[in-house]
Amino acid sequence: MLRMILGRLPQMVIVVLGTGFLAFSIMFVLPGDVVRSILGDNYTPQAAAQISAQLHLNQPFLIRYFSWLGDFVTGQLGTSLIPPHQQVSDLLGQALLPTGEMLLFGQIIAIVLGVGLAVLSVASRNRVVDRIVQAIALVCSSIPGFVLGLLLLELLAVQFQLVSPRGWVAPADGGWGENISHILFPSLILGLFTFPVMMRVFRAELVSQLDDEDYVTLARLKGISTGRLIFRHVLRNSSFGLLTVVGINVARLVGGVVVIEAIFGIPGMGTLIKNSVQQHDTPAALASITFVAIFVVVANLLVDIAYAILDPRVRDAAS
Amino acid sequence: MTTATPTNTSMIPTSKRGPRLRLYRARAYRKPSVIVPAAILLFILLACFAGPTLFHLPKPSVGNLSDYLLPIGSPHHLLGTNTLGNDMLSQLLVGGQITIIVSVGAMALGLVFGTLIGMIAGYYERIVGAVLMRILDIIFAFPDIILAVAIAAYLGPSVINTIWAIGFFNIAGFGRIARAQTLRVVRMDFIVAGRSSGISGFSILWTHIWPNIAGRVFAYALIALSYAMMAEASLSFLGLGVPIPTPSWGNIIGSNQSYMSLAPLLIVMPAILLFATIASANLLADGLQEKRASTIE
Amino acid sequence: MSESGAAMPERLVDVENLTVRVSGREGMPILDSVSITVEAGKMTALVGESGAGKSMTTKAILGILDDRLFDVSGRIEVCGEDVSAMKTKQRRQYISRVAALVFQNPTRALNPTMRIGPQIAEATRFAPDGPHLSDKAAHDRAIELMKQVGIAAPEERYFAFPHQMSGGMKQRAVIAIALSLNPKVLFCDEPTSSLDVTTQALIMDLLDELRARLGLGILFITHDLVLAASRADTVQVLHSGRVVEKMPVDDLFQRAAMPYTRDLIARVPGFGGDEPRPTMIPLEVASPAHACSYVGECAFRQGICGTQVPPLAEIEPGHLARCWFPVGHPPLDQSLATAHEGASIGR
Ligand SMILES: Nc1ncnc2c1ncn2[C@@H]1O[C@H](COP(=O)(O)OP(=O)(O)OP(=O)(O)O)[C@@H](O)[C@H]1O
Ligand code: SF4
Ligand SMILES: [Mg+2]
Repeated sequence: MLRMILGRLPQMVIVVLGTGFLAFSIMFVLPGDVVRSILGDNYTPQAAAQISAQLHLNQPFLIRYFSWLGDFVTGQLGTSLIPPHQQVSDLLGQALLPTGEMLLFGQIIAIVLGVGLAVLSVASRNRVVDRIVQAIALVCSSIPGFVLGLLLLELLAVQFQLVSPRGWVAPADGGWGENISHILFPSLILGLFTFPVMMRVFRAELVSQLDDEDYVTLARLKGISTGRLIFRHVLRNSSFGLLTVVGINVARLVGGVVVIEAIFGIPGMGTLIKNSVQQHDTPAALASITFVAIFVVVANLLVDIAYAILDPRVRDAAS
Repeated sequence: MTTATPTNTSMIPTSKRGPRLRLYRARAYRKPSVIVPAAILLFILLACFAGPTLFHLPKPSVGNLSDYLLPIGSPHHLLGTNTLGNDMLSQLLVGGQITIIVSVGAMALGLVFGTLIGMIAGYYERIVGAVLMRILDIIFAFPDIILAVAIAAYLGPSVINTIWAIGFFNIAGFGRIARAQTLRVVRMDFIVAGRSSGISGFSILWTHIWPNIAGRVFAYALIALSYAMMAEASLSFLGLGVPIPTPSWGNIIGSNQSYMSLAPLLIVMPAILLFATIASANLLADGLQEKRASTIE
Repeated sequence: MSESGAAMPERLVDVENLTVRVSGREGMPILDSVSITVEAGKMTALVGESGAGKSMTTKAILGILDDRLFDVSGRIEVCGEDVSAMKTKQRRQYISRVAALVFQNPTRALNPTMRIGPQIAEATRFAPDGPHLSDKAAHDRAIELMKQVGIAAPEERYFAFPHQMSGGMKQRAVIAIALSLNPKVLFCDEPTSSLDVTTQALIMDLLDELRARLGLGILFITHDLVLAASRADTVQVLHSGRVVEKMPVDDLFQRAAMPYTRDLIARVPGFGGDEPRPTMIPLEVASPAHACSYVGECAFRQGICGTQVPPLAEIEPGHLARCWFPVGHPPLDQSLATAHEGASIGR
C-alpha cells in the first residue's frame, strides 16, 4: 500500500506543479495595472516603483515563477493585495471549511442516493420502479445545479420555510448545529446534481454482475437470498466503477461549488478563487488554485486507496 | 464549427464496411428512444434559429419600460415581457441561439483538440503519451471556473470568449475517452501489422484508428454537449459568460434571479427550455448507445 | 428408457424431451427434445462441440435460465421430483438441496473479494434449506469440506482470497462449495478444461472418489472424448441441440455408429481415421428443422437425411443412435430410405 502511494507521488507532484504554473501564467498575462489598483487614490510614481519592486514585478516571468514557487513550498503564502491585506493563509483557512463541508456532505449524499436508487431499481425487479428511478436520475442530471438550487431555495426556504435560508454560519459563531443546518441544503443541491452519473454507472455494474458472473449463479444455486446476494457479494464487486466516477467527479464538483456558493452566499473556496482572480489578487489566487489542485490529486489518491481496500487483488498487486 | 460534426459522422462507416451495413444501421436508428429526443432537439433548434424571423418577433432587447412585466398572452407579446419590457419569446429564442452556438462551439473545440491529443497519447504510449496525459491531468485538476473568471474579468465577457473558456475544459474529457479507445484499438492485429510494416503514424491514426473510435467519441460528444450547455448557463448566470444585453438561457435566469418571487416565470421558462434541451441530448446519447449494443449482438 | 435388467439403479436425473427456445424466435430451437439420465454412483458424460447446447442443458435442468429470454419445455425430474412444475423459488430451494454445479472456470465461479472459507461456509449458514449452522460450526464444516476435497493446510487457506490460490486449488474450493449442502447429483460443466493436464487428472480423481464414496451421480460435460471414455459410465453425444448418440462407455471408441461421433473420434490423435469413407453426395437441404443436424458434413448422407429428422433409435441393447444409416448397422428403416432415395437429391 505504502509503495503504491509512493509510486503515485511523482505524478501527483507534477500535476500540482503544472496547475500552479498554469495559474501563474494566467495571472501573468492578465492585462491591467496591478499597482494602480493596489494604490488607488494614493498613486505616486515613487510608491508605484516601490510596490513593483516589492512584488518583483520588474523581474522576468520565470524568475517570478520560481520565487513564487519557493515561497509557496516553504509555506509563505504572502498577504492579499486587496485591503484589508489579510494573510493568504488566513483567507484559505476561512474558505476551506465551508467548501470542505459542502464537498463532503454533497459527496456522501450523492453516493447514498446513487447506490441506494441503483440497488432499489435492480433489486425490485420491477419495471415501474426502475423507470421511475431512471426518470429521477435523468431530471437531476439535466437541470444545471444553479437552476436546481434557485428553484429549491425559492420553494423550500422562501415559500415553505422548511430549510435555513442563504448564508453561512461559522461554527464559532452559531455552534455546529446552526453551521450544519445551513450547509446541508447547499450540499443537497450538490449531491442531487452529482448522483445521477454514479447511479447509472453503479446500476450498469450491478446488472452486469448479476447477469454474467458465475459466482452469482453459484450463490443462487445454493439458495442464497437475493438480499444477501446483493449486499454480501455483488455490492462490493460493483463498486469499482463507482470509485472511478467519484475520482473524476471531484474536479467537476469544484466548478459546481463556485456556483452554489454564489447562490447561497457562502464564503468558500469558489468565492475566494473567483474574487481573487477578478481583483487580480495574485497571491490569493495562486494559493487557492494550487490548493484545489492538491485537493483534487489527493482525492484521487484516496480513491485509489479505497480501490485497494475493496479489492484484494489490487491490494496484493500494490504490495 | 457547427457543421463539422455531421460531415464527420457520415465518414465513419465508409472505409471497409459495405453500404448494406450502413442501411442496417440507419434502420437501427429508427426507434422511439432515438427519434423522440432527436425530434425535440430539432424542434428547439428550428424554433430558436428560424422562429424570430418567421414570427416577426421584436429584437430581444428593444423593450419599453412601459411594457414592464406584461403577463403571458399579452397582445404582441405571446410569453409576456420581462422587467425591462423586453419580449420574453424573443429573449428565449434568441437566448437559445446563443446558448446553442456557445455549447456546440465549445463541444467542437474539445472534440477536435481533445480527440487529437488523446489519439496521439494513446498511439505513442511511452514518452509522448505520458507527457500528454499529465497535461490532460493538469487541465482536469484545474477548476474550470478560473479561466472563465480570468477571461471575463480582463478580456471582457463575450460569446467568443465564453466558447474558449468552456471549450478548453472539454479537451480533457475528450482526451481521456479518445486515449482509452485508442489504446484498445492499437492492440488489434491489423494495427500492429500496419505499424510494423512502416506506414506513417498519422496515416494509421486517420485511416484505421479514427474510424474505430469515432463511434465512442461521438457518443461522448452528446454528453459533452449537455455539460457545455450547463457550463454556459452557469457562467452566464454568474455574469462571467455571455454578457447582457445579449440574451442566453443562463443569463436570462441570472438577471431575473432577484425577481424570483415576483415573476417566477421569467426563470422557470428558460429553465424548462434548458432542461428540455439537455435532457433530450442525454436521452439521445442513451438511445444511440442502446443501438450500439444491439448492433453488436 | 432403454435400461433393462433386474436391479435398476436409482435415477437421479431423468430428463425427457427437453426443448429450449429463445423467446419469440422461430426456427431451430437451442435444445431439441433432449433426453438424458444420470444414475446414483454413475457418471454420464455429455460430449459435443462448442455451441452444441451442453451448458444450456445443465442450465435448463437446474432452472437458472432467464425465463424472460428462453422458453423451456419438457419433463425434468431431479431425484424423483418433477422440478419443471415447481415455482421458481420452491425449485431453487429444492435444487439447492439435491444438486450442485461445478463450473468450467473456477476463477469466475468464486467471489473475488471474499475469502475462500466464508464462501464455502456460506450455504451451510444462510441457505434457506441448509442446516443453518452457527458461525463456529460452519467454520468447522468448511474446514472439513476443504479436507475432503484435498485442500492442504485448510486452516490457513480458509482466509485466502481466490486470486491467492492456484487454478486446481480454486476448482477444489468450488467443489467444496458444491458439496456443502450434501447434494446427490453433481453437474460438472467442463470442470477441467481451464486446468493443465496434471491438475486435470487430480480433479478427475477427486470426482471419481467422491462418486464412489458418497454415491453421487455426476453429469460430466466435456469436449474431451478420451477423458469421457476413461471416466464415465455412459456417453451421450449432443449435436446442434439434439442427442445424436447414447451408449455405454465401452462402445464409444469401438462401436460408435453415428457418423458425427465417428468423425469426432477420428479427430482424436491415435485414433486416426484412415477408415474408408464413401464420397459425399451433393444434397440440398430445404429446411434444417426437417433434416439430420449433421447432414451438411456427413459422408454417409442420403436423400432422406435432408428431408426427415432420424429418430433416436435403439440399434443394439443400450445403444441408441439418431441416424438413418448407422455405421456398421443396417439402415434404420430401409423401406423409408429407399422410398426417398433420389427424391430430393440436388444437382
Ligand atoms: N442468450 C442467447 N441467445 C441466443 N442463443 C443463445 C443464447 N445463449 C446461448 N445461445 C445458443 O445456445 C447454443 C448452446 O450454447 P451452450 O453454451 O449450451 O453450448 P456448449 O455446448 O456449452 O458450448 P461450449 O462447449 O462452448 O461451452 C449456442 O449455439 C448458442 O448460440
Ligand atoms: S442421418 Fe444421414 S446425414 Fe445424418 S448422420 Fe446419419 S447418414 Fe449422416
Ligand atoms: Mg458450455
